[in-house]
Amino acid sequence: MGLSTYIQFFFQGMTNGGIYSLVALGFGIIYSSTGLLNFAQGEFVMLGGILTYAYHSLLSLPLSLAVILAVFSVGIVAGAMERLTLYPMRHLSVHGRILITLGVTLTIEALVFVIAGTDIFYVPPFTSDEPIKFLGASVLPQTIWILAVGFVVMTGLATFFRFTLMGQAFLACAINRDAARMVGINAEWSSLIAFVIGGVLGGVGGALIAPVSAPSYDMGVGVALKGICAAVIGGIGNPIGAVVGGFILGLIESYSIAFISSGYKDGVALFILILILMLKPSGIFFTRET
Amino acid sequence: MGKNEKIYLSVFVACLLVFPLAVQAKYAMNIMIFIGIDAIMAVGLSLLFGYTGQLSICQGAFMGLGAYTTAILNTKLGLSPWLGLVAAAIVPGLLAYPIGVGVTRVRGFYLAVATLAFAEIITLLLEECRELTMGWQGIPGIANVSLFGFVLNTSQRYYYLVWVIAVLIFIFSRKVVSHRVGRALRALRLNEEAARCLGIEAVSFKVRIFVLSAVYGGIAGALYAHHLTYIAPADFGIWASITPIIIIAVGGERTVWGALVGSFILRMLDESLKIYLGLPELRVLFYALGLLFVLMFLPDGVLGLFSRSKENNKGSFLSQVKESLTDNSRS
Repeated sequence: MGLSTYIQFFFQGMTNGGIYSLVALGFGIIYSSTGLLNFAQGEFVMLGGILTYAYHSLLSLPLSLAVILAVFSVGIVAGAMERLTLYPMRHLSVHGRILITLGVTLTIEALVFVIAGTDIFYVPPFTSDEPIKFLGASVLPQTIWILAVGFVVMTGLATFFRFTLMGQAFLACAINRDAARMVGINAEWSSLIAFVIGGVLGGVGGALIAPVSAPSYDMGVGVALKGICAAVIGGIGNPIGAVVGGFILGLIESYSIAFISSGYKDGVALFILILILMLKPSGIFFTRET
Repeated sequence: MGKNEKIYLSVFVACLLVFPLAVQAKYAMNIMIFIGIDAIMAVGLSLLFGYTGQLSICQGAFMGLGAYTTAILNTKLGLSPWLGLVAAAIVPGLLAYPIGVGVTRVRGFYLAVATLAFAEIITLLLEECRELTMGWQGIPGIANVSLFGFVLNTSQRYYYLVWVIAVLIFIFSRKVVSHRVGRALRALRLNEEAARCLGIEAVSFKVRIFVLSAVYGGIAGALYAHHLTYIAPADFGIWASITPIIIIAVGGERTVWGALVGSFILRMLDESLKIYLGLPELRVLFYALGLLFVLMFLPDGVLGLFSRSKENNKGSFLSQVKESLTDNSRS
């Protein structure tokens, strides 16, 4: 295989990897804060894409505004999910609440199915459709957007957690909820914030990937599974691990299309997930979960 | 088994025997057959989740493995469906063992994720290994089951096959949980560390129950294959794994009978929705909302309304209502 083909697959992998990183980050933040595995994370991505389509094509808003509104809307959906279904059941066992996230996942998927059917929705690329030539490979401009926006989002999150009071309070709740309460932090808000952030991350990922891979009602579960895979590879709860895990997963997937047939590409990721769960569930990186 | 339980069981079996004589319609028979198959799938999950607290999202995959095992043995090798049934019970069990061992020693949440991944892999393999499984088109022409030359090719006859197997599986499962193993499992669920201190080997019990749930899934799959005589990978996807979860959430995860009650309720609901709503999209939405409703308001399922809750030391919900209505003197 020539160098340019390798590079081609590399960028393909980075494109998907960026999205997986965002999803894995979302999983990690929610898990650190609430101990829950949020199955609905994939639905947030799906909604990000579909709402971008809805705001742009159906309401004729300019694309940039549509994206921002879509992300904002998904954040609201995530917050509503937490307040309406998880907060009232906060005394239920972790397993029970994970099942509730599964219920919400199915509900969102079913709702979109009812409204939109099995259609897939075309979202135009943020800038142009013309691939950029780089060392003989064709790179979509959207890929640059994904990597750039992803970088900005992650830096923004890191800044939020490190330098703002709210971010610090949130981290405190994630590390030890009761201790945080004792110093006067309102721990009930941390779950809500976690879900809203998770929703925003998912929504951003969905809006970014929509021009590349048109969203449909049933893409949520697959995305969630990939995100879980990335989070487990990197170590769930570990933000750097989530990002690295996402890109590793994207690259593994991309190169397995190259070396094995494309039908099996999902299988490779899943197989690696199972291997890691069985051999080293804490992931490649050390996790700081208690 | 308690005395009340034996009475309920006998009444139930009697109804089962009489039902086909009273109701001749093929439609009703078919529904009952599917209820039986659903119930067998759900019992395995109920043992796993209700008694060990482990959530498995791959019952559909085990069902698929069972169905395809018997289908392939039957259509490609011409073997008898009975052999297929036995093989269908064994193959998923064998696969479940390494997965169970590998994953049950970590927290239950990892089991859920691993089983979900496993289910997706199986679906993928079923679609991709075309020489063996004929890909997404599925396998047609699976033979009917025959017993000493008596072919079970009508719904009525198949009904008896399914329910004989189902009742046997239920009684066996009930014995499993009322025995020492059952008490061990319940102890594990309540507090794993304390149970370990008492010498209960967490890992081996969990693995055994996981394998058992896989075996049940395989049996259900074989029964499914020989009933429909045509299977495709789409039958055994995520939805097939989620349905048993909904069933035990609705019916009650605390006892084995919850799987039975849940299967009845779910299938009846499905058929009613089919008749009155028609649109498949709305049906899925109803299921999803129904699951949420049950999880939030009926955490012990329908059977939970009737049973005494040992953990709270209160009566069941209904008996508490009765108490509050009739008791005037409590201060």
